Amino acid sequence: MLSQAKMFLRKDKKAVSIMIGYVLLVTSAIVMSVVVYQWIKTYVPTEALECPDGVSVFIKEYSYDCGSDELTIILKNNGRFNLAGYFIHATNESDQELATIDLSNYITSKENKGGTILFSTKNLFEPGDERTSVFDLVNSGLGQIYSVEIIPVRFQEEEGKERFASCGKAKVEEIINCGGVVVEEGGTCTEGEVQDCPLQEGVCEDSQRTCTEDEEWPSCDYGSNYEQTETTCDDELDNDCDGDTDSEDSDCGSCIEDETQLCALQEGVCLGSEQTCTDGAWSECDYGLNYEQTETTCDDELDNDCDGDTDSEDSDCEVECTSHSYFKCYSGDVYWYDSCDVREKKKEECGTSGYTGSNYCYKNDVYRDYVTRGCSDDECTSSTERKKQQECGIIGCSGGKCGTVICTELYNSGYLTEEEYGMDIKYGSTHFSPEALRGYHAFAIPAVKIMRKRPEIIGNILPLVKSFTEEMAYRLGEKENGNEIGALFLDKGLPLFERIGVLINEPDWQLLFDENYQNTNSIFQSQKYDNLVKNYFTEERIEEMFYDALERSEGSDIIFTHNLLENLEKVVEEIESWCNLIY
Amino acid sequence: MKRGLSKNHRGISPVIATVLLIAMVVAIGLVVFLWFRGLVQEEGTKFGKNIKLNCPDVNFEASYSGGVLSVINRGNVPIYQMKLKIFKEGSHETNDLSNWPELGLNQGESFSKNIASEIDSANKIILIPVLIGSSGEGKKTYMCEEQYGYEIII
Repeated sequence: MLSQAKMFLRKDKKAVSIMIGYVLLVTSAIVMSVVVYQWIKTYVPTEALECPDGVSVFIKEYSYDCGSDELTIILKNNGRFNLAGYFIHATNESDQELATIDLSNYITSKENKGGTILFSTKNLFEPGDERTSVFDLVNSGLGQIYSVEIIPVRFQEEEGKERFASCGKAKVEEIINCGGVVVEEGGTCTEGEVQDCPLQEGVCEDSQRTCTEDEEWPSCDYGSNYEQTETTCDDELDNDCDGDTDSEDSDCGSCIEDETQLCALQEGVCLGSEQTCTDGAWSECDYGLNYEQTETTCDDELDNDCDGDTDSEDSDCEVECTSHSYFKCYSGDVYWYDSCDVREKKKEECGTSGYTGSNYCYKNDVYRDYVTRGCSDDECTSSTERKKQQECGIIGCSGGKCGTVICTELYNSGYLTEEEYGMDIKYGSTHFSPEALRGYHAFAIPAVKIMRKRPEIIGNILPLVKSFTEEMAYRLGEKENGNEIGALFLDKGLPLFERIGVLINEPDWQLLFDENYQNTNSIFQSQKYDNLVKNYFTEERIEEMFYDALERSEGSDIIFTHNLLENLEKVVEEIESWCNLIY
Repeated sequence: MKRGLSKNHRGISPVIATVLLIAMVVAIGLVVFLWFRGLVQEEGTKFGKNIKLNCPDVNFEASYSGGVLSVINRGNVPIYQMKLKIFKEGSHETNDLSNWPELGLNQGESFSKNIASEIDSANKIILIPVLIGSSGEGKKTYMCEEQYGYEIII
């Protein structure tokens, strides 16, 4: 029962792993779906930006005075939606099919916003409202106007963004008769008929006109105080009948304290910006931090210069970019850039950082060169530094590995086993004093050089070295029996090496045998005699010691060892006597 | 033989297998997505959709009278450039409509130009709008298909 329960619990544990798997799977599926959705969305047709069907305006009244070349239009919003303004185009020839003459430039109020008569940056032209627009065509050079065409506009929310929409379907057209006045429900009149003039504010209040005998409405006579544009700003009269008196009228160039009005630019980042009347003058428009007189920031998805074009749509962002204009570092390599700072092809690959070459000995430790590659000041750079791979401690380094010189050479050549070599390292690092090692190295390095030149002598040396490793293993407790030859070498040889070692100053024994090595200290100033030792342990001298010991050995390894140590002692005594003499 | 097939020697754990599977799916998915995205960017987008999908929304009127071509943009898609396809007896050619507003013909804007010398003995012209959108490589123009053009019989 208990085992069944355990099995059940085990199965539960497995289920947790599957749960994690499912969570990961579902998460990645969601992430991928979102990414793919964003992309595929651009392929899904969406409804075009259009005004609602209930948008409608009509020209309630107009008056066109050919003599003064002034056109007054009263527009009424008879639809169901608020509007912001309208486009107005006209024809000046009777046979002109399309109204292409933009009249917005000639409106006397400040409602012209780049080809649009805009009452406000919000849809404030409400259903039932009427707006009067007066167009001064005196200096337009257009001649007589034959017809006008009005298209209402409004601001609409589309996918979270407010967009400016032209309501083309709600277009209205009107034939304009010179000197005529058109009123709602037609424009004909009966002789003697009287009606109110289009302008009924200010000095125009209660003004009327009477239908002529030609059954046409004459121009309105608004009296001597009437001004097409308010220029008399101190008579306390609304001379131009626009509802504003003197300084209240923007035509007077002054304003009422703290009054606000829309700034001239009303697109992009300027949308909604206002200026305030301060000390009788309009303040400068502050279009905010994102405003740029000329669009230079072309990647912020903003219409910075308020001309209706965003980023790449704006011609200001069109620049001729020269390829391969300059190069600089990018991501560790050198790349070409065009004059628009767009990265192009890779000019030069600087490579990756990493180790190079093989391990080598330096300062008695194992090192390897590390090359750091990169890019700086527009060009590839590289620097090499040695990095310590292994600290050999007291035992020193040989052939790019930690270990004693002769044993490392024999191990690398395959004469010593892993076990024998390991014994040498272990014993050397725990039982050799620094001085003994330095002395041993002084002897062993030229010895190895001889071994490389005369491989036949390895046959004579190898039994001795194997004896040493056997004795080392015994002394380390790794073997039950020791070795007589090894014991002789360790007991008599190590003290000799120590005697040499105390005379050597240079801790890096490899440098000691560098052909270009010179001790920086004069031997008269130092108690250490590196150069002296080096001169005694020449390859010739050691070769001489070796063959002399071999000749007198009578084929016995122990006698050979004994002779070799005897010859070594003689050299040590010679070095010591020279040192004493010099000192 | 049985020992070799024992449960203790089965493959990688289900968790590792699942993670590897998901990683592969995500990697392959990303590669495919980036490839397709590259294709889309070639065409460019406008108003958040593929630029060619804006062509049906272009709404403009044109007329030709007395050698003067008049165009007015009645819609809500700015017309960046206009191509003029001129049909003559047995041939046709397509040119850019010169002197077109540098910033394009925006909503409500109009354009007039005497093109009498350009169309010469033509019997029909078609005005084909060119739109501008953005892509990963920057600004990108797209010439709408002829079906979205405006035909004028002369």
